[in-house]
Amino acid sequence: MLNFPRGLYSDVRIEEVWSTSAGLVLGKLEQFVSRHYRAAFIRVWDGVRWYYASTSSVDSIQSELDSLAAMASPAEDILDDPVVRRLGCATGRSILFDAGHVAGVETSDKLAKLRSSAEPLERRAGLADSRCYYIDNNKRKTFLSSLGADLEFDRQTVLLVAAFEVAHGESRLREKCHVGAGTFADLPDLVPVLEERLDEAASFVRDSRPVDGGRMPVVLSPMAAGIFAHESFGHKSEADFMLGDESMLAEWAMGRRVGSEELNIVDDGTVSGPGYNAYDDEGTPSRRTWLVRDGLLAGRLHSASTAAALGEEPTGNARSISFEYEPIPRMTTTFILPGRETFDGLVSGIDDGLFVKTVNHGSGLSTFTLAPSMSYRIRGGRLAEPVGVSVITGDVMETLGLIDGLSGELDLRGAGGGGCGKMEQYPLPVGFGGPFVRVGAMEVR
Amino acid sequence: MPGMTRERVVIGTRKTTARIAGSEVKSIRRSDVLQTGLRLYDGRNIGTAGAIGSFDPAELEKRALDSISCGIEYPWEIQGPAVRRETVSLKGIGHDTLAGEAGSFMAAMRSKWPDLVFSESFTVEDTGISIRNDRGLDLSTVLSSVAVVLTYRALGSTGIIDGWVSAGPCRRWDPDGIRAEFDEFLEAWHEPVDLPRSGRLPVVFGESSLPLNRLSLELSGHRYGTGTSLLAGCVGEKVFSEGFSLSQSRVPSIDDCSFFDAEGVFHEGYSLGLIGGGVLRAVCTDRRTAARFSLPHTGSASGGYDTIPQASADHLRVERSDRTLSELLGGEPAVYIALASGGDFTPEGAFATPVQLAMLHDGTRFVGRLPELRISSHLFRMFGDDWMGQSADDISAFYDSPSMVMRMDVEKAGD
Repeated sequence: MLNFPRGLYSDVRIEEVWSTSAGLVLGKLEQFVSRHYRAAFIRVWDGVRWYYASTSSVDSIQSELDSLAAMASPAEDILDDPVVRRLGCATGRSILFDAGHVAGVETSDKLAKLRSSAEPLERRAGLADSRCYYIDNNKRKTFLSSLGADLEFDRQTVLLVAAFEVAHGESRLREKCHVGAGTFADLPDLVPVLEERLDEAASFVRDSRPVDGGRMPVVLSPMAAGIFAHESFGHKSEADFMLGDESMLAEWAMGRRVGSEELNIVDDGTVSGPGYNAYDDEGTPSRRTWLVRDGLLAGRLHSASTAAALGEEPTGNARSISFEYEPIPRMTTTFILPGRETFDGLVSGIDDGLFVKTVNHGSGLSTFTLAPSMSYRIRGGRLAEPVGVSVITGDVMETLGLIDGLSGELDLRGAGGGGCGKMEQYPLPVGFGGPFVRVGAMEVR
Repeated sequence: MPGMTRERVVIGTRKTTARIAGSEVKSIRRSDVLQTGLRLYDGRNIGTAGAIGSFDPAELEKRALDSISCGIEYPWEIQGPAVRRETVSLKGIGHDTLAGEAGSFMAAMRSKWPDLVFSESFTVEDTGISIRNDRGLDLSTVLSSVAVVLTYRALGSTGIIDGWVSAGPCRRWDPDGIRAEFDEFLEAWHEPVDLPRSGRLPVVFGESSLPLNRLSLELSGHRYGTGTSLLAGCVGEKVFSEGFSLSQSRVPSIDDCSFFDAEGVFHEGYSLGLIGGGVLRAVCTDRRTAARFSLPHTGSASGGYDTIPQASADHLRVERSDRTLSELLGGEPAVYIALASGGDFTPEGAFATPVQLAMLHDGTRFVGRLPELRISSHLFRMFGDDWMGQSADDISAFYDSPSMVMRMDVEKAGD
């Protein structure tokens, strides 16, 4: 039983983590790490400043709490503080993975799954390099606060990831693919996914030529559209970067048009997958937040602190990568909502353009960039030859306004073992994806 | 257990961070984390187990034994007897005084730069890294440092970041000196200047930048052995400019790391030459990679407290020339790359990136802020014919920060 100090808001997040990571390199097992630990993050707020402590010794939580309280300045009216008024006192238990917990799966079964999944890499001739990984992670959090919050919730992911390099003469291509699920039993078969990706990569590296670049219409795959939405718009929706700047708030006023009427972008922490959380790391329930609705700016992602600073409400997006860090506004699963067209319909409307299928990475500062891995020209309304593209770039707001077609399907996924980075906090598991998205014009090089 | 070698890796980190938001100290964070890893070697295989915080030694040993049964081969010699300690200390600031120092620093920054909104952090960190085994190996490094990283946005800007200034890891706290350096940069940042001309211009990078990161990949022993490195088959050959020499450096005070690798290997002088006078001398290997591809073992293993060591071409240092940045430039203005995000090398080595923030530099000082640019070249040109040299002097007086200078194709974004 913790004694929360008087005149202060305080909370404690205890994380219990089970994880496994096993890796085959060129068909040989070279990595196996199995972890189980408990650790804690403690916060104290006095109405002016936050005081944090992280500790790998859960026996010292009370002393850490007392030590932080000694640094703070108690306030009798702390319950009236705008930040505290936005913090909840929910109690409850949302444990989804008692059954199917990764700790209950034998190591031998995990390694057998890894080896069978990697078989296509061993059978395939001409691969210059190959790796295959099994990764699982179960994180169970207990959250207690001076307001009476008492929560226990968990999240779990299981992944199989394959990466390889194919070469043809001087041309080379690094590609990867993955499958994921909430439990080991639900893990899809990686083999057909990998076989298909190996076939496509082999023909791509054999036949592709550097693109004859320029400004042209582009169809983005769900993966490419997801990275675009995350990098170009999602990060700008994280409210902490608006603090202390009235002109920025005016620029990002709710209701401002940022895209066509067909454009809807949401962040949703309730979606199963890497971005799922029942609650965020300050006890706010996860929810769907509309960032763009019918092309109009509709919301942003908050912690209690940023919500208080901007006179808005928390959105369940205060997240941290581990017990060593404080929660800050972060995305969960961010995606463009589907429209009504088909992929063929999107392509058929383009006489001379580009289809981006896979992407190595993206960025989203004043301009966004996408670095495609596999792309195809669109000619006469049909997919044509494979092309190597260095970078696709453009102005974020201008490009959002040029989205003129969305397919009807929705394909959500994660980064396949990596995650999102924000200054020191990397990697945070997030989900992204969307439909196929057609953009009227993008700069292709 | 007879015939079994035990090795223990311990990493202890004590860190205090003053977090800045809206140009003020908004939070103080302390962390104290102890990570312990146990490796067991039975002569054929390796097993590992780790713990965060306190742990039961018997349970840790049982988990490491279980891990051996996974069958990860490790038939190589374990590092033998050696005892050495290195300590790098910090002067002028500590965990208890960081918050006050950060507050004073930011008050001065707010006063001097009211049109900018600063974010990020001040950090004091003590890290202890040790590796000990029952072959008599007993190595440890203790590192203490302070670092300041401030990103900024101009009021009214629509971007997330307009620029950044940093100092560290520093071994002494000199707030007036650091602030003077920040002021010099920010004064220049407030002066928009045009690109002197498009075309091939001297470009200046710090060492933590895309070009050296890519070279790090190409120097991986694994990539070299599989033939996927652009340098494959080139050991003993001249691949870059005569003026380009590169080492893997583990000098604790400079490189802010332990002097030994994850397998307990270290070199006298804590440095190993990889490229000398443009000739590729070696690629980075741990014991596994060296054995797999019959390459010389360079002591380049990296890894966490509880992971199996793996080869890594990290901690690369370009050898300084005997010329200052001003002498390298010879009076020509240079493009200093402050923020370049979203670019990359192609698999064949061609390089292009947008540059979100570039500064004009005359060799002795920042002159002004350039418009957004695009730069491009090729790995072999950047460190080959277009390599101008590594400066003898530093960009900052407070940490090791020489400049890499190379000629590249530069144009304004949108041209």
